[in-house]
Amino acid sequence: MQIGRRRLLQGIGTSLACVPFLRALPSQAGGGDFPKRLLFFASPNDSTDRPLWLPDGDGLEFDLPASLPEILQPLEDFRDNLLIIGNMVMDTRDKETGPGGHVGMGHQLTGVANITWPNQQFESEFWAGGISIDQFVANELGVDALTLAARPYGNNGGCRISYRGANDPVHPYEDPVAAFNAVFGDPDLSTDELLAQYQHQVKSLDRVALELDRLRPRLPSVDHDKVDAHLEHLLALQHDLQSFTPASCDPTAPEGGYDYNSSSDYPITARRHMDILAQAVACGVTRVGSIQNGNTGNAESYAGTTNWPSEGIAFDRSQHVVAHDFEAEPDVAEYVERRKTLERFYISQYAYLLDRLRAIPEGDGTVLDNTLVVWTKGMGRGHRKDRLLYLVAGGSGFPVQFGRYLDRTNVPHNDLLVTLANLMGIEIDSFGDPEICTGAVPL
Amino acid sequence: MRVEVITSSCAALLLGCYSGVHTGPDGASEGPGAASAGADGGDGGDGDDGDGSAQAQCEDGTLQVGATPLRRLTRREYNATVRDLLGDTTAPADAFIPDEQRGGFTSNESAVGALQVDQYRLAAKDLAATAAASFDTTITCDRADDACATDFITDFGARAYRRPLDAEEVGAYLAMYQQTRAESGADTGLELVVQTMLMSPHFLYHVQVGEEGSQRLTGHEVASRLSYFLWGTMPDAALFAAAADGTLDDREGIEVQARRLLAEPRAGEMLDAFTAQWLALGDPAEIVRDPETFPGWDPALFSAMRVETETFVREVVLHGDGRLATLLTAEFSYLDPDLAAHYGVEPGDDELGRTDLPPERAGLLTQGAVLVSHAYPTETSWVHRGKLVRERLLCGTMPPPPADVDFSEGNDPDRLHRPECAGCHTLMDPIGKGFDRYDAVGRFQTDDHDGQPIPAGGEVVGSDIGTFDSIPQLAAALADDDVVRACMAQQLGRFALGRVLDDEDPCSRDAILETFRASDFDLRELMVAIVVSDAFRHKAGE
Repeated sequence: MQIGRRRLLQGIGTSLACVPFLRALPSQAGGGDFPKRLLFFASPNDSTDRPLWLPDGDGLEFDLPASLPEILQPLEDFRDNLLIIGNMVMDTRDKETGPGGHVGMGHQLTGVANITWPNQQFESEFWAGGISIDQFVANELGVDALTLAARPYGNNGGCRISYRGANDPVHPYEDPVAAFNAVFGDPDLSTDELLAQYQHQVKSLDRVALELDRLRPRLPSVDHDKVDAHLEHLLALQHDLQSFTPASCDPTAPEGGYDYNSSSDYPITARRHMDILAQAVACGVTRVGSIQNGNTGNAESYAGTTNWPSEGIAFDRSQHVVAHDFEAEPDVAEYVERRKTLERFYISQYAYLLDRLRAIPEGDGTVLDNTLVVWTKGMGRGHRKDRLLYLVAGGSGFPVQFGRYLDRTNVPHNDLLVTLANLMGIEIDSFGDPEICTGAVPL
Repeated sequence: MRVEVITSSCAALLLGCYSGVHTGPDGASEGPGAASAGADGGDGGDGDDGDGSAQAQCEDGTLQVGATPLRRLTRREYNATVRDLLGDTTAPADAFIPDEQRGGFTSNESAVGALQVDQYRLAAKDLAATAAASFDTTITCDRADDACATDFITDFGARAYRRPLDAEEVGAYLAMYQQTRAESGADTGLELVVQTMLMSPHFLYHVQVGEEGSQRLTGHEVASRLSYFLWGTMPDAALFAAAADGTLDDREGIEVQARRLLAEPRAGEMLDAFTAQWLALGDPAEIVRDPETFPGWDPALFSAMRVETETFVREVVLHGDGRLATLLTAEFSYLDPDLAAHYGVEPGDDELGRTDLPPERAGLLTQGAVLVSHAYPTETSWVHRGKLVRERLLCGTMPPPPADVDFSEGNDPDRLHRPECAGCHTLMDPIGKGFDRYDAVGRFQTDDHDGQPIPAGGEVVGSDIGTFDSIPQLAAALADDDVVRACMAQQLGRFALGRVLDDEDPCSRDAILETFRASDFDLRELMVAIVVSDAFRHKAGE
């Protein structure tokens, strides 16, 4: 089977729903059950404050109103696919070492407090303390989670959400082209060329594995884990190369014209990643994935500004400072405007991912009907552990009544992780720290 | 030697904020005394039993060496290594995920991840393909011939692995070559050899397993430690030769090689990297200033500032007196004309733009690269400039800000009065405030835009330094402070080995500091003291 040659996506701003995104998906042909998928969308800082995201309505649970709060307006077109869950709590933050601030982001998907290194000297130099829900679900389903990030800006616990286990981060693809090639194969090579290349590399990896094996006993025992991890990844890679079969769909390679390292191209990088994520799940390459935007608090350094020409956003301060300005002085109109603009931008990016999924037909509906897309952050307003905002989008493939607001005050976020696993068909009643988790939260 | 913990007077009061360097507070010379290689030439005979009393730096002759973590090459090291190994200047490691940082310095000591293993595969594939394209000029024998291939495997392998291959390795690579030759041709076979070696742990990691049955590192392992510390890349031919002929088995031989390496231009590349990490200098692509606040700001100025600092450190350390005091207090710098105009000084006219500075400027702390990196886009930063001095020069430890912290004021005097903030901010803000006459784009001014005088002066709380009236005065006090000197030794030691030489290496730590002191705090002597120390030449005992 032939991998399609490079085809460029339409430019930004084109109505993507009109573009035939993928063709001849096998899943489109059949009816009945479609594979269920689970995707996470992480963004930096907090979710602003409750008045900015709480929709109008009476009681603790209600149908979403026709008009959503300003920062959520990019989601109005997805109202029937959306759950807004308010006021959950992240008790994993209580257990973290050191004072609050940005204490890593690993706990949001692991439900476990992060680990501090001995002699930790600088902020965020630590990893999460357990497996994250995306990796857990992927393991249970027998697929590889696709982990993507736009400018995570570093390599520490403040920049990683996905973990295979304690102290074992999954590093995200930062370059959309590299991600695409990993998922679908280099579109510049024919399938025969790719297979020949992989065949040689399998031999290389055999030799490297042997050398790791020979080196291991000569190293101090404290280093053996590193050799074991290297061997494990090497053998997994070898298996992937050996068993590579071209995707059964005709994927569209990411358009160029941006620099994934550039701060000002950051929104475009994130959208390129989401294009790949949507294709990967639609194509059946995986069923679990994540797109991480920036990192825990500041996609940029404190010495930087926020300047995204593609979005018409230009602030004289970093995203982190924008968030703190609002947190400290929520009455200053200028601070509120900036904060709302920033958060509305992230909501619009989340909506972009929903849009990509909805643009791909599946049975009588779209891929979005069978995909849960979860909006997640590492903290409530102003580093607090409570007043979290969660968004869960999906559709008729799940036994969930979308189009609702649900107040879940002080329900630990671990419980939502349990529910997500359950919705993916995995029967667990606890996830993460068992002292925190109280079981699935009803949606 | 007396060793004491400097406990700042407030540290005990302060939640999690402390100053953490151990130092001998005076110049007492009753130390182990073995720090200077020159004074210790007698240990050349320790080759038979490497860990005996003849070479150990502890007075009682024991060897006390902590464990250096197994580390992978950093991106900088990888790029420089393939440049020197293959002549490839494409910097393929720029596509790797960022390096980890420990204490501000890059050090990849976590277990490798799946993505990195794949990135190593892709880089090796491209590098090998490029290398194969020029086999016609780089391999002069008949590449279809076993003897030619064996020579290539032996020679290239010894440089890629930074040590001679053993018989099993040569045999295995020859077999790989032969098998591939039969299927796809000789060049494909050699290309696969190159590709495989570039994925080997012996290429990707700093492998230091030591001599058989001893804690002592092999000559080749010492050679690699030397070249990656002092050059940031693989050993050159002379260093390989020194490793092979036993020259690196004693301190004298190591010292000779270290001084040779320090005299080569590549030592300048190392200093650039060290300085940028030590002083947390910003990346020119990331530094942005607000055009409304600073209408004259041109991002190219920050690049010129980075060049200023790099040139200054290179000139002082490689060609000047090498002294820490000079780095901190020099009344000269190296400015291009645009930067000189920005500072408001007359540029010097020599090739490097050596310029005598006005009295408000002194050494590294008043250089634009430092001032701009540690400021906000619109204003100065008491916190970040104070934190720089506290962490990077005094080796203090500042915890992250607490929850509910109020960042809205960049410079907020209230932080010193609110009990929940004051603990830590007392250690930073009074230092950083003293920098206020240097604005966020690195210019010096005595009055603010309203014509009001900007306060000068500040205080290093919990330190012998105390109050200061100006940054040049602060710089002079820092240059004369034992905590700063010990911190400098700690920082370079960390840069060299990826770990702090402290309680696990008491004798190396003390000997290094003694030599540094005896040299009047010359960084070159400090670097030599590090490479001849027990900690540098040995692995930890199990």
